[in-house]
Order: sequence, then structure tokens, then C-alpha cells
Amino acid sequence: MNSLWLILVSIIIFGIAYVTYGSWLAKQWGVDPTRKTPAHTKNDGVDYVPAKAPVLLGHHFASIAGAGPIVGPIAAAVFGWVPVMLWILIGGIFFGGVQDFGSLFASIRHDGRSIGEIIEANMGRNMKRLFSIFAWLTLLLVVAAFVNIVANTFVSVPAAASASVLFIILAVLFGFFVYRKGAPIGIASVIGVILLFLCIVLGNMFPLVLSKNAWIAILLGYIFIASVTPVWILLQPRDYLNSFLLYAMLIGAVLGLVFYRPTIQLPAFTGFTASNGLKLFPMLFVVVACGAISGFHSLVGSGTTSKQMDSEADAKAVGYGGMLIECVLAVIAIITAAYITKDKFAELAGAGGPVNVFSDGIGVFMSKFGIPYEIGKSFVALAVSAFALTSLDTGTRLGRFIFQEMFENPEKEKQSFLTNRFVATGITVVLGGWLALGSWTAIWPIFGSANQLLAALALITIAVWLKNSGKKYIMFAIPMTFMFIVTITALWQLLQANLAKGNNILVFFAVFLLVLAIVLAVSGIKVLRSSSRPKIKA
Amino acid sequence: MEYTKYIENLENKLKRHFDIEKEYTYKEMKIDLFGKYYLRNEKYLATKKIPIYAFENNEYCIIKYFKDLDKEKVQTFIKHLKFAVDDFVKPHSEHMSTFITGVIIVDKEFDKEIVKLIQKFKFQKSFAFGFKGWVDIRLILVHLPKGEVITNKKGKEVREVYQL
Repeated sequence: MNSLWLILVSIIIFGIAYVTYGSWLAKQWGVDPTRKTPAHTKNDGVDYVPAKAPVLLGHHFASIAGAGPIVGPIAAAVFGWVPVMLWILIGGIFFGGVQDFGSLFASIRHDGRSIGEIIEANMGRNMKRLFSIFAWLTLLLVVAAFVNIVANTFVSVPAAASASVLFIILAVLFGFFVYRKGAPIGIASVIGVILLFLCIVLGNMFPLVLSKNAWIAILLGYIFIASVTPVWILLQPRDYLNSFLLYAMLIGAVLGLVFYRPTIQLPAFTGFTASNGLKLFPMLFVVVACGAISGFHSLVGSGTTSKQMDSEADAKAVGYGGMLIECVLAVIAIITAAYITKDKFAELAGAGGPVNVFSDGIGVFMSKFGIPYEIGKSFVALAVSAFALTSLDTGTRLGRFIFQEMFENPEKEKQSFLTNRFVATGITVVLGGWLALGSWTAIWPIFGSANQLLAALALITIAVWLKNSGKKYIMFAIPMTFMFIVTITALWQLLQANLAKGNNILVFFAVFLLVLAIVLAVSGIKVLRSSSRPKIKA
Repeated sequence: MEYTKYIENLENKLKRHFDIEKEYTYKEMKIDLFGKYYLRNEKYLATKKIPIYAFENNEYCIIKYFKDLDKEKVQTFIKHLKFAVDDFVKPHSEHMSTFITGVIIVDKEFDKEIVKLIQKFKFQKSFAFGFKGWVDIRLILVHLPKGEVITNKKGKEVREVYQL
């Protein structure tokens, strides 16, 4: 089968789903374009400010798109490309899109309040406390998974490692010249982008070869520094330059696919148990993660996007449309795994994980319109590593904050040393790093389970709100039931597998998440069966 | 343009963003218009209670009118701007930048040396190697009869605001 057809058919299916199912959802929930949004009713010129839908979609997409939709589908390719494709299509349309759109809309109807506050209003304070502990443990998994993935990438593509080091130096210099020396942003951007591509060329000339553990140590040092350093020194200029990498990579990938039109070679279906022992049910739905449904999207949508929504009618484009665009990225990712043979896939995945498979694939696609393969490959590896580093930096900052909050006592003048910025960051980084020393293949399913548990929680919360508002919540019934079954089954299997291997720390995570999942499921069913009213009127 | 009209226009321009005080006295120097601007940016996840990061950018506008101007008056004014750095700028981990904008408004002709003095003036100070931000001084001279605005390098960024 020609992969160009695969991407075109996927885009058409997503388009039809957007027009039909997306509109049906909007009708069922009572999306009302004439109703004033919080951006208008609470306009304060700071948080609540109306923004145009395309601008908001751009911001929203940049917040939700990361390394997840690339890593997940490729990691799940061990089951064959068809199950992954089907889950991206079905999951994106009926699960992920519904969750993103629903959480955004629920937040709009709750005066732009966050999903956390909606949980508290509809499900009680204890649920919110559990949510905080769960968030911190999940962030440790984020640190572990992404440190591991980036370290693997740097080992398999040493050119990307040196390019990444040069890129960080470039970002610091870019920030210095723009902020401190007053360099015009337009000229600085042009020079910055030219130098960015020079970093890739230099990276290929001087590859940095180090062991995986050495990279893990360096990356942990990096995220510690990046998390305590003021944002104007590194994070802001780096994220700004990252956006150029993202767009260049997407354009390069699509153009490459059009020029190359590779034939799918990976087996369509390898069986219900993969070669690495993972069972298709439930692991496919956990491992694909952000490519089909991601609990973290509900936090992004309900955090800032809802406060800037100009009209309720835009919620479909931003929430549902944003998720479907991410699904397209996931389809591109699975194509990079599906166009090669099973042996080649095993070789590339074994040498450097999913990012290596993706970088190699896009590198080959781009070589069809004149970009040298080596340059293309290290460019893509740099781009994906840059996203992963951004996720790491944000994850560490959030982890530090939640950790500090756990030990803060407002009644005491002298706070515990654990609330110290450096101590809290150090503990988060060290624990995340300790987890990272294991294999990413062991960490990713646990991270995926935590992410899907958050999705189940978001789905059940919106369902409860709809029920309390006297609206139909049938579109959530199957997704939330399915996600709970998937998460609980996956965690049970992971618990057994890690117990057998003696991965005690992962056993602890699995037990905690399993208990949490059961508590959440029981609480959700109780609330859905009762006829309690929400504290927040929507 | 006459001074009262100009200062009124300037106040109307600034008051949208600045907290304005008139007839402000700072270290025994009478300031005609004193403006304070505080901007705090935050990125947070899901709720304001979970910040990812925050940073602050501030500006202090010190606007003084002189009927006539000599080098000594300019030097004294600059000295006060430097005092303002110590008095107004409070560096901390979320402080990114502060601008002290000194604006001299003058009615009569003045020595060409003053133009050079203004244009060549430069002041930038970093706190904890930039980890606690930095401060810059903008120096601006507005010559009312000619409608001329002379600035130092940093002042060029806001020259338009002070045009007649």
C-alpha cells in the first residue's frame, strides 16, 4: 500500500469527522455562538482576553504537540501498523477529540475555571487532593521517560547530540542579543534560523559520542539548571527557535512523503501478543498515548485556552480540530515505522528507540527532494529532542512546584528546607533520573497509563457535569468506561510484569496508580448514579 | 508646542499604562511627571496555583521641565537617574528588566555639547550576572521650539512616544 494514500485518507476521514461528529457534539452540548464567553464577560485585559480562533488554535496546538504523538505510535508498531492506525483514527475522533473539545467547553461554561476546579466542584475535595499526588508522580514519569528517550536518541544519532549542545548555546546568545543588546527580532530571527541550521551541519561534522548513562547524567544536570534558571536566559529564546524547527520538520515530512510515496512494508498485524511480550489489549491503547487521547490536553484546554475563547463556536475548531491535527502528526509517525521492513524496524528501534525510527524515516523522505540524508536525520532528531527537552523543563518546573506545595505550611513563618527551590528541584530531578536508569520500554507504558488515567478522570468529570446540567453524556459513556478498563487492566499487567522483573520502584507506581484508578472509577460511578447538583453553575 | 500642552498630551499617552504622579519630589529634585509601570507575565498549567514560571518587566519615567539647560543641570539629572536605580529597582529571581526613562523637556536653545552628552550616555547594570535581571537607563531630551527629540541608544526604542 502506498503511504501517501494512507495520509490522504486519514486527513479526509478526520475532515469528515470534524464536520459531522464534531458538529453533532456541539449540538448535543448546546454550544451557543450567541452566548458570551468568559473572555467577554470577565474581560480583564490580562487573563480573560478574546483571541481569534486561528491564533488560539496555534497556541493550543503548540502546547499540546510534543514528542508524545511521535514516540507512542512508533512504540506501538510492534503490533503491526493497522491496529495503531485504527486506534489513531477511532481514538482521535471518538475519544481524544471528544475529551479535548469537552474539557474546553466545560471550562468555558465554568467561567474559564480549570479542570481541577471543575473536579472539585463536581466530585469533591478529596478527589482534588488525590489529583495533586497523582500529578507529581506522573511528572516523575515524564522526567524519566523523556530523559531516557533523549539519551537514546543522542547515543544513536551523535550528530544530533552535538547539534543540541550548539543549539542551547545559540538560544542563550539569541536571548542575550535580543533582550540585552536590543537586536531587532526580525533580523535576529533570520540570523538565528541560519545559525540553527549551521548547528546541524556542525553537528554532523563533529558528532558527540558518549554512553547512554553519561547522557542521562548530563541531561539531568541540564534540566536542573534549566528549571532554576530565569526563563529569559534559556527557555524563552529556545522555545522561540524551537517553533521554527517544528514547522520546518512538518513541512519537510509532508513534502518528503509527496515526493517519495513509500510503500508500506511493515506487517499489517503481528498478533495479539507482541515480540516484547506486550498484549495488544490493553497495551496498544496505553502505548499510543498522545497520538489518540491524552489526559494532559484537558489541563491545557481548561487552563488558558478557555479564557481567551472569543465565541463558543470556536471551541470545536480549537479543541476538536487541534486534537485531529495532532492525530495527523501521529499518522506521519506510524508511516515512518510502517514503510520499512520488520527487521529494519527492529534494528532502528533497538539502536535508539522511536525517535531514531522517526528521524531515519523523515531523513529518508526529505532526501527525495534534495536534503542530504545525514543532515535530514540529525535535523529531525534535534527537533524531536528539542520538544522532549521542553517537556522535561516544564515537567521539572511543575514537579518542583507541586513538591514545594506539599511541604509548605502557611501558618509557620519558617518553612521546611524541602520547600527550597533548589532542594525541591533536586529531589524531583534525582528521583526522575533514578527511574530513567531503567529501560524506556518499561517506563513508557506506566507513563501512558498515568496519562490515560488522567484522560479517564477528565472524561468522567465532563460526563458528571453534563449529567448535572441535564444534558446528554452518552458520547462519554463508552470512552470513559473503555479508558478505565484499559488503564486498570494495563496497570494490573504492568504490576505483574515489573514484580517478576524486580522493578520495585515501577511496582510502587503501578500499585499507586491502580488504587487511584479504582478509587476514581468507584467515585465517578457513585456521582453518576446520584442526583447531586454541582456547586458551580454552568 | 508649549510646555503645558505637551505635558498634558504626554500624560494622556502614558496614563493608559503607567501609574502617574504629578509634582513628585525625588531627592530634593522636583519632578513634573513621574510614571510607574509594572508588568508581570506568568505561564501556568490548568490553574494560577500551578505556575510554570513568571517574570517581571518594569519601567519608571522621570520627566522634568527646564526653561534653560546647561551641562551641569544635565549631569545632576543623570545623577538622580542613577540614584533611582538603587532606590526603585528591587532585583529578585523573577525580575527580568527595569527601564529608568529620564526625560528632559526644554524651552530654550542649548549647547551642542549637551546633544553629544545625551547621545553618548550609556548605563546598564546586571544583577547577579543577569540571573536577577538588569536595568537600563534611557535618556531623552525634548526640545519644544524645534520639536526635536534627542535620545541615547536605549532611548531610541521609545522616541516615538515623546515626539511632539
